[in-house]
Amino acid sequence: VTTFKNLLDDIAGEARPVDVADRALAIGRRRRRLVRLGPVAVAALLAVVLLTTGLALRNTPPPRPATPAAPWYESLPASVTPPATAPPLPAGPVGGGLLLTSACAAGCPVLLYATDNRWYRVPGTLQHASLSPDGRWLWTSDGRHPQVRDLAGTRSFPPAEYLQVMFWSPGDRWALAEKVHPAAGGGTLYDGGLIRIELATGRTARFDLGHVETSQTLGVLPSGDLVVATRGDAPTAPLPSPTATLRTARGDLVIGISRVGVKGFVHQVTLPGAGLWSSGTEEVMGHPPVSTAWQWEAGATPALSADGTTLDYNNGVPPIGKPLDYGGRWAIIVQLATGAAVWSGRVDSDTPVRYLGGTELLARQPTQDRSGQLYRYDLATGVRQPVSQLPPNTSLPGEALDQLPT
Amino acid sequence: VEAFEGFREFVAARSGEYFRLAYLLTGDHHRAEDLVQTAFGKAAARWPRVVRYDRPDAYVRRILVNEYISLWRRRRRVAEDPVGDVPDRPARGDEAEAAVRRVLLRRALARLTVRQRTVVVLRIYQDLSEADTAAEMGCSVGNVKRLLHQALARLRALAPEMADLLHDRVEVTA
Repeated sequence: VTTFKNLLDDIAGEARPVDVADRALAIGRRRRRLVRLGPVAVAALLAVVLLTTGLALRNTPPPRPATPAAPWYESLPASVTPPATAPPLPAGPVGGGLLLTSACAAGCPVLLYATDNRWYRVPGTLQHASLSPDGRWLWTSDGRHPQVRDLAGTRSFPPAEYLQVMFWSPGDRWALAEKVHPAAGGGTLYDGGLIRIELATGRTARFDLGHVETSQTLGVLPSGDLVVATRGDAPTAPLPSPTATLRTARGDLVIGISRVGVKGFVHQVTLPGAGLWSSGTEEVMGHPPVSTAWQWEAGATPALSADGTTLDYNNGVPPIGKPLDYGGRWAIIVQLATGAAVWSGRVDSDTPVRYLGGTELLARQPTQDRSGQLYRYDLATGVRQPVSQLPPNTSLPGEALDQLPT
Repeated sequence: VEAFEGFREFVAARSGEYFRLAYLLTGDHHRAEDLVQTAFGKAAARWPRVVRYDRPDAYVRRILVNEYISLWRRRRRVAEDPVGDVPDRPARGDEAEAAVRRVLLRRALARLTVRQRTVVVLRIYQDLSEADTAAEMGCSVGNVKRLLHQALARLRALAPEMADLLHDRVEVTA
């Protein structure tokens, strides 16, 4: 023990003491000042914090009650009357849009009625303007230079030239657009390809269906899949054969899910029948007075449900065996995932705006000037619940150019 | 001035002792100086009270030891091994052998944990009792015994040439 301790003593003896008294005193004085001033400083800091917090609380508006986000159509007043003038749309968020309107069908400024209950002027023409189904995204264009703006934020981006939005997906994730060129000799030239735009990122994907003459795109699902209707006797190439066929008592309704390239899925709704495709009265008139097949009526507006699994559309020809009745319209609700017809029946001449689930639609009264009543419409019972009286030349969220009632 | 009356005299009287203790703990002259300076500085801040204690020197030593342990906790590493190389050729006789042993011991001490090193320094170099060592380190007597046992075992493993100096009798000294 002694030796070990001696070794430790020897090592300790190598220490080099220096005079640290002055530095220690400086440390001591500093610490004493801190000890003395500490409570004062803490009290002062506390007072500043309390004062700042109090001022902040006074200047901060009381938080809005946490209410679930209501659908845009529940924010509309019983009657909408646009002002004569409105300020331009600010750069900051306005929450979202409830409708677009204009004093005239063409050439007048477009007004946006926003969820903050204010009116704003937006660029472009009503013909090229559209709101997404939930009212968050605004598409404007002068016909050549489109612009997409997030009304809930500040983000905006320009899609490619001449793109015109055709459909929005339920849930506001996708926009489906096509390129509409002015033709050399006048008129319009449709590109034939479909451009799907992811709104949050601006990323695009192109779908070349290649058979625009015999099919019609009905929408884009929240998944990004396209919904395409083709005539029963039309060639389906390049679409692969449908993967599911629903045979109903009223006729064959083939609903399939097909893949187009690697860009996405296409929900193909094939409607076999007597070759009726156009809604033209002449063609329909040429058929027997008793319906032989379901007929999809071109120009009718399909409405995708919020979950994107159900499609509703009006049918120009009544179910098989029923007398033709041109005074009414027929609707069918189909689950795209299973191909099952959920409901079908005769309906009045309403223009669906949104499928709300079950047998309920948000519909608008079809008028020549695009005004009329917006209401909830139960297809099964025929009961209508008024939502809002719309001004002329009105475009509602989810309605694109070719969906506007005429 | 009154607040620090007698402080300089205290530093002058005890400085060497604390420098040796700090050097044993840290194994480094600069760190030892920092440690002593900080310990004296903290004592100076409370000097009017410290000076009234029965053992102001023990109080300052406790500050120094606690500062060493807490500094290590903040840095989470043991001081670098500051020891020099073992002399290739011992000069002559016992003196040379002692020099070699000091180098070996410093190197081995540097490889102990902070608490093991502290218990060796307080228990053997400072010759404190287990109870006093426990009080200095803020731990139990049992902990002191365990730490010392571990420290000596590790020193024997690190410096087998000195195993004969590090036998169990060290541990049982009262």
